[in-house]
Amino acid sequence: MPTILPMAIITIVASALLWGAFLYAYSGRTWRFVRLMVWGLPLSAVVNLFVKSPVGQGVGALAGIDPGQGLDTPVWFLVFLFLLAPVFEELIKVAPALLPSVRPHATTPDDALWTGLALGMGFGIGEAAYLGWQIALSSAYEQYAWYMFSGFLGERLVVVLLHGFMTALLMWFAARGRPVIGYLAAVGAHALLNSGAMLFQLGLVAEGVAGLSLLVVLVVAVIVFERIRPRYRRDESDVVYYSADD
Amino acid sequence: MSDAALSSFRPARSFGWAWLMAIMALVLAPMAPILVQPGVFSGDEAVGAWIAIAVIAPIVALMLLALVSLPQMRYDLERDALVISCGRMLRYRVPFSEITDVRRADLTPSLWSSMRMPGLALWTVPYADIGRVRMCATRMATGILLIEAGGMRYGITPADEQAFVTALMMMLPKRGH
Repeated sequence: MPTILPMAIITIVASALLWGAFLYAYSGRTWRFVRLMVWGLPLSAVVNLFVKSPVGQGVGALAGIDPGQGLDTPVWFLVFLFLLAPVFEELIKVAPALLPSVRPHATTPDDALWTGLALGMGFGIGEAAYLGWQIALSSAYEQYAWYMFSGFLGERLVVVLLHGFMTALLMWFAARGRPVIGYLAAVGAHALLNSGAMLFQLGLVAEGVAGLSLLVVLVVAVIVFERIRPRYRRDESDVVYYSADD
Repeated sequence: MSDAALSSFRPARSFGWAWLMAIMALVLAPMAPILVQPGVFSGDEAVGAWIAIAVIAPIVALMLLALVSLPQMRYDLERDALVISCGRMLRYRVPFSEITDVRRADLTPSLWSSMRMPGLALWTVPYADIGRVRMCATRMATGILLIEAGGMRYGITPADEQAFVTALMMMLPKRGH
């Protein structure tokens, strides 16, 4: 049994419960959007296996560049690799919104925001499963006990939420008639999120510094989300027992 | 019930304690390698691990304190004030003369950090719709009894809301008509 399996299961279950409950509570206590998370689940595996990997390897082969050369890799190819994930993942995450069964959930900017959040978080949970699978296939991690993967749990919990934010941003702009701006915003946030890991892999920054990009994107995402998300407070539903104004 | 309280009310039951324990487990999970195998890290990794412990330990301590204080949560009506408390870690005194509004409302939580989760809300909690509320409640956002006094808002969830409101109304200044 792969040693990461227990932690991968904990990560997926905890993410689904935590962010599913979050979406339910914040979207006005409805399951309407939570159900849409299912559509995002397989998309990480799809985009990694059938888009990013073939495109990356294909372009590398055409240019005659061997992967894994670190800083000896041509800069343009590093930038290309860096942009692969943001460009293609942000596209595929919103693809389910074109389906007739999903489209009616995203007709207004408010609904589009929750739909995007659901699709993105579904993608993030699927990505946790995909990455867990990839780690399980690698012999490099065999010597670690399952509890040594606790960093996987912490990072994926945050990343699932951020995937939701990025897709929500795209969908929100798209519902306001500005899909290109939304797409660029989502790709930019995604690129910023990945920048720390990229710089760490190139040996340019320490691991701790690399983690800062996650923190920066998280804080910015929360600020933006709090500004654009709909509020459902209805004063008329209050039961007033006492008011000095009466 | 404190000596000065004329009547005392318990909060509604909730599973806030279970959420508190689950979140505590999530906070502790990254520490699992150190707790299970203390010598697992060395050099720079050990320094990082100790920094992580220094950050996480106070959070866990606060959660433990909240957990043991939860059974002591109550709302006391004293001679001249409502006293909202949760053991030794939280105590708000709300003079009756300052209360200007009492209502039951559903609130919209914000993402900003605070001690609130399903089934529990403590201390000052920022809400997206009405701003900051001093909470001592066993619900996070729905069915909150909001009490406005002295420019502050307080949020509570008495188990027997009607009995609490009836008792509170008797203590408040009479409204003019």
